[in-house]
Amino acid sequence: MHDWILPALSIGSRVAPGGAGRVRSVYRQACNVELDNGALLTLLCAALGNLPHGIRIALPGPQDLRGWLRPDQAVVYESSHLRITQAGVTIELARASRWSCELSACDVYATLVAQAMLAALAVLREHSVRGGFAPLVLNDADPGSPLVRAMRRRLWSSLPLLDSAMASLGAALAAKALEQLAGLGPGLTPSGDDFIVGYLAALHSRCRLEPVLRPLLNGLTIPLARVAAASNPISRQFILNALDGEFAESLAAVVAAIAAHDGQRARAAAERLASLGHSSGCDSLLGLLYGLQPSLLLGSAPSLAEGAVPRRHADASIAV
Amino acid sequence: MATAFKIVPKEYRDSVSLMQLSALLAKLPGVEQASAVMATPNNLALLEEAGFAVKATGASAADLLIVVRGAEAALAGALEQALQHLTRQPDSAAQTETALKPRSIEMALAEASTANIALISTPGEYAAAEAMKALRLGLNVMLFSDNVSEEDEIRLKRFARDRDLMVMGPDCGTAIINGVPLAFANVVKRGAIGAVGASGTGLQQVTVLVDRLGLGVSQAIGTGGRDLHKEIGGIAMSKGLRDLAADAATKVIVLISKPPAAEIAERILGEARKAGKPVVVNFLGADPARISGGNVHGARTLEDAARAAVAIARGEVPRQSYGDAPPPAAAPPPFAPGQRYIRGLFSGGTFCYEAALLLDERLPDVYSNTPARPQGALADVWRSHHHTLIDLGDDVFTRGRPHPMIDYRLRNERIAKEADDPQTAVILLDVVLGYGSNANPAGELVPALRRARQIAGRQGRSVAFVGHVCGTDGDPQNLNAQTNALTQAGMVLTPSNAQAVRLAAGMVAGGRS
Amino acid sequence: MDSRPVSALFSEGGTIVNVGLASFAESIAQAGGKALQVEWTPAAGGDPAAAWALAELVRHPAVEKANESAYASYLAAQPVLVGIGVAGAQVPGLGERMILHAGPPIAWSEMCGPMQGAVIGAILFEGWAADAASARSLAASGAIALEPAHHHAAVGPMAGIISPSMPVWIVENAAGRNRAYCNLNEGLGKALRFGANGPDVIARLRWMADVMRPALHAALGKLGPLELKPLMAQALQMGDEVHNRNAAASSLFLKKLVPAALKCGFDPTGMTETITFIAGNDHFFLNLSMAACKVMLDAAHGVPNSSMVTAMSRNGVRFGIRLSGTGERWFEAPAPLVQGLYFPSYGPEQAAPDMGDSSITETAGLGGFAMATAPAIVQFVGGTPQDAIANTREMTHITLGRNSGFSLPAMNFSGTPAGIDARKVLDTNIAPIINTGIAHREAGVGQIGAGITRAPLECFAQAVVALRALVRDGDA
Repeated sequence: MHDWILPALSIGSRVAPGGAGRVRSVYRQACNVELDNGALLTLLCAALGNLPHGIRIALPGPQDLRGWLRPDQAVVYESSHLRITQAGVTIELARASRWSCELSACDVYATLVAQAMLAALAVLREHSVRGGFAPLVLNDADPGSPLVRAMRRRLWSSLPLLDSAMASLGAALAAKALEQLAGLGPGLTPSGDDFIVGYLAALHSRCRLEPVLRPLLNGLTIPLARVAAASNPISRQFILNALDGEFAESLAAVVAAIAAHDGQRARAAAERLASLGHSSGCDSLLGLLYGLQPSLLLGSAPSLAEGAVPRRHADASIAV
Repeated sequence: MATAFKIVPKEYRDSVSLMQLSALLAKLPGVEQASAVMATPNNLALLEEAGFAVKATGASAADLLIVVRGAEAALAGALEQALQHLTRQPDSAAQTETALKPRSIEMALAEASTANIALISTPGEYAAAEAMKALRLGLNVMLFSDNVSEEDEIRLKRFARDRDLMVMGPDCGTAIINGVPLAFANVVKRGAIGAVGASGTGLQQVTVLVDRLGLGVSQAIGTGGRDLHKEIGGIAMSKGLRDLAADAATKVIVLISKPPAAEIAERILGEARKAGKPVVVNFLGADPARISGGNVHGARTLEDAARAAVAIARGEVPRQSYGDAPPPAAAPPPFAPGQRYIRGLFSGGTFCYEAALLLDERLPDVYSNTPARPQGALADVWRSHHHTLIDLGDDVFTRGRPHPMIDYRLRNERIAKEADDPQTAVILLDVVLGYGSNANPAGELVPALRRARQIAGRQGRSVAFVGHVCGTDGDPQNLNAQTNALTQAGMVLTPSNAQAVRLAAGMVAGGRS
Repeated sequence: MDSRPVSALFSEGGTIVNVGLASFAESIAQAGGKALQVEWTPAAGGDPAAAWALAELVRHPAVEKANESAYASYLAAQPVLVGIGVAGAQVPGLGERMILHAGPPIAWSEMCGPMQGAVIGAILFEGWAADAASARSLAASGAIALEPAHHHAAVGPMAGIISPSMPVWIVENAAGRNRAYCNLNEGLGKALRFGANGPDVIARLRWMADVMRPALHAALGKLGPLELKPLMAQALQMGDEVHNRNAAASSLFLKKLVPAALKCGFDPTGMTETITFIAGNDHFFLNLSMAACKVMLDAAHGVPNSSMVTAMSRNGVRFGIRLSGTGERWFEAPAPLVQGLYFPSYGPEQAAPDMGDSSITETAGLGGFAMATAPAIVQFVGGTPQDAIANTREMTHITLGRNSGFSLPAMNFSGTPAGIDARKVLDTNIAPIINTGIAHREAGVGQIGAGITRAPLECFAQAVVALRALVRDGDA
């Protein structure tokens, strides 16, 4: 019996050709492969967006990777093929395009940009029933369970820390706040990890217009690389990607829509992002919005009207 | 109470199945709490903080940690079940059969045979088609969408009339049918007063006041703003009047509209006289004396209409006017010389129009984008001029942003601008609660009032803030908290729009004398 | 299909159907009312004119009545295999120098590679040209009439080529006396229907005309008229959907045929070759299935005002549909590419756009519409049995009813969804699903994969607009 040939559509920029590994976990529309060098490779159905470490493949009709792949199957990555012999599947890479993440620059102090953020925030609110961090930040209601209550306490001790770190450009303080969130909460990629990824997307995006933030971002590299090393392989890959400014297409799409102050598109993109995983997408979205404009999420939001928030330039004095 | 846990090494379940696992465990008898999380240091600390005694030495961030707390006897079994759940074939676990969600009105009807109304809020260009489908399928229609042509409105309403169906709208923002608030509506008690209104905020004001006066609403029907135009002929209002006349629960009927075309007004009033029940009519701007007669009672303001309806329902004789109610004891701040004008910033169009009518009777030089008389039309809606009343729900302001009842930013900016104007004495506002409106209007307005006060204060002036909250105790925003916050921020609140307008007028008249 | 009574505005506890802003439904539920959210997308891909045309046809009494009548004719049809004949003598209107092809009308110059290859093959087979090059120029000269098989009560898979000397199945509707025709299946590999026209292909066509046709004629004469509907129904119980999987149906057919073949007295060598050929081809029954479907749908065609789809077909360039109530018109859109699995060393670049009349099976409620019964097919295209059931269930939302003559074991023996209503397709944006093979875009290479595709919604939008213009509102 011949292998089925599944054509790959696109290959993420961080996927390095060659090597071997094993299927770790298979979901309906995605499959994680752990390569022998420790890197993670994710196979995705076409409908999901690109990942820096992902290969998108075209599956026929009703898409369910679980019909093909099982954990522990060996994967061999040759130059133009990825073979999973036990599954009888060859993924053909030769005709796939290369995808790399392009993160737009957000001018977070522009009124229209703020409006697009509000559109994304509205989506987050709608999805907050999914759990994770979002309901703990957006709602006042007592969560009931002592576990969630404890999570909320931790969250609320870290977020203001993060805020003042941003205001004072204190990388060490920011790292401390993020370390408190790392690995925190429910999910295969715990909410805290997803939040960190979203937050880093915000920082990378803002850095391009606010160079003053660059040292803060640089200062986070070493502590967060340490955080990544201690987390599970999937979180690890996402955080390492994020430190290098590479993000999932679904997250970058939200940034792009906000940067283009297109509220409608921001809504749609946020909707797609928020629907990923159980709360993972929501937690990334929360991290992103928090990184772009903390006051959007905190109760005492200042008016978003233009000029209400001082525009921060590289040479401006920093108000704490 | 005991705790038990299990570490499953390198278990990469997707987040959805982890959630399902937690939920499944929590439902088991004897289990008080359950959690399935990745065994990260922060999660371990969290568990400890929450009182779970877990000594998971050697667990790594890549392992799954399952913790259960509850009756000791139940825990081992629960962990066993958790492992079974994890080893189950993913296929069978994930294949919970979900029925396809309805993709069309017709599909929805197959699921809900008791359906009687379609609430349509699609983009305007498709809304008429959806409404037509609903009518053809035997449903009544509430058409929230705007940008539906008058031609389509006529087609829909005539089609509905021939089948004794109702089309509320287009651009119908408010209705309360069978006690259920639709779109923008307040939570009011059910009772004996039925209303039909061509204006959404008009309906909100009347139903809210009826509720506050201690009675309730049987039905509140919106018709859309154009219904009483000559071309459309008041088809929806006639139908609403007829339905309320036939409705046993309705004892008094209230009709609300801007003055209709003369021939339509004649017809509607003719029908009202034959309703067999008392009918209170508020044609904003029309002379109540010319309306009253027989079972029909003309009312000058929305508040008068609500009060008259309540009086009639209680078996009392309604007064011709309730306008003389003493204004609340609120002395205006000492105005500086030159502070002479009222600046009204409204989120409800009918509130703005009612204010224009009432002020125009009392003061010269009243300008508005919903003027009482054509001469009062404001040349530039972005700039105030003498007494100015702005309907911020006007298309000019809502293009590309949510309605001002939801999004307060534009109004807040304008409040600051008016406070900066040395001629401004009183800023007049409306605050609309209920479903559909902003979840916390006071939270939006209070900082803006504070800022406005600062702006005026820096220039040595004080500005008075006057307004009313259109809401009930039942509304999701919590009326009490809203009024307290606004009062504390220095806003003088009256029970109705009409009273707020009179109070504001009194303040500037007093300031001048 | 009775119309729903008009509902009273003030009926306590009535459900509110919410179309648009989902937050309204949430508020209603929060306030203690009942709301049902419609997953609304603009009908017809956003063409407001088509959306309005559709709205005016929803529950239109004239359309309802017409559909009832068309659907009843489809249900009542009894396809019976009455014989095998020579196309030129049997197929109505098939002229002397005419070749029939799959799908809506298409000129020679527009045809895709495989279809041109098949036309050339048919010219060579008929002996109208000596070699491929002169056959090509003959076709290009316009001297050969090219017409859709559908215009002649006929159908054919893939290129769907039928020329006058080819043998055709003759299937008659015992309930309505109309007949339908289909060519014979040549088997897998290099075949005319994929555009192959080499000497081996022509030689096989010759053999089919000279040996197989008379052999089958003799056997069928002995067998007598064969009712196809019960045979197809039985095949559905055995895992066929009689479009992409015909293994059971082919066996059942052979089981009927062999005893008659043995008794009919035909030359044993020719008969042995014939039976061996049929036994080696799991798709042999496809062409009979198609003729049966065509005869059932033609029975439903031509009912004024009916929005029932009576043909869906592809010519390798365009996808076309016909409605019962819009006569001979086609409503066309570019043929979609098939989402599918490819045989080793082939990929989507080599695939021809969707082609063939075989989607007549889906039009009749089989194929993709009966996918729930064919788990083997589902595996073949990479889905799970649950996906297959979901597909069939989805189709129930766009059909006029369920054909209990074709029952599905996996769905509690309920009938297949059948009788596609163009209005419902447009209203729900659920496009009919089609199981299909994938041909190589170059002539003659053959099948390179299999998969699933969806009929383009655009066709249905055009069809509904056209129907709207024909329906009179006198009794609306």
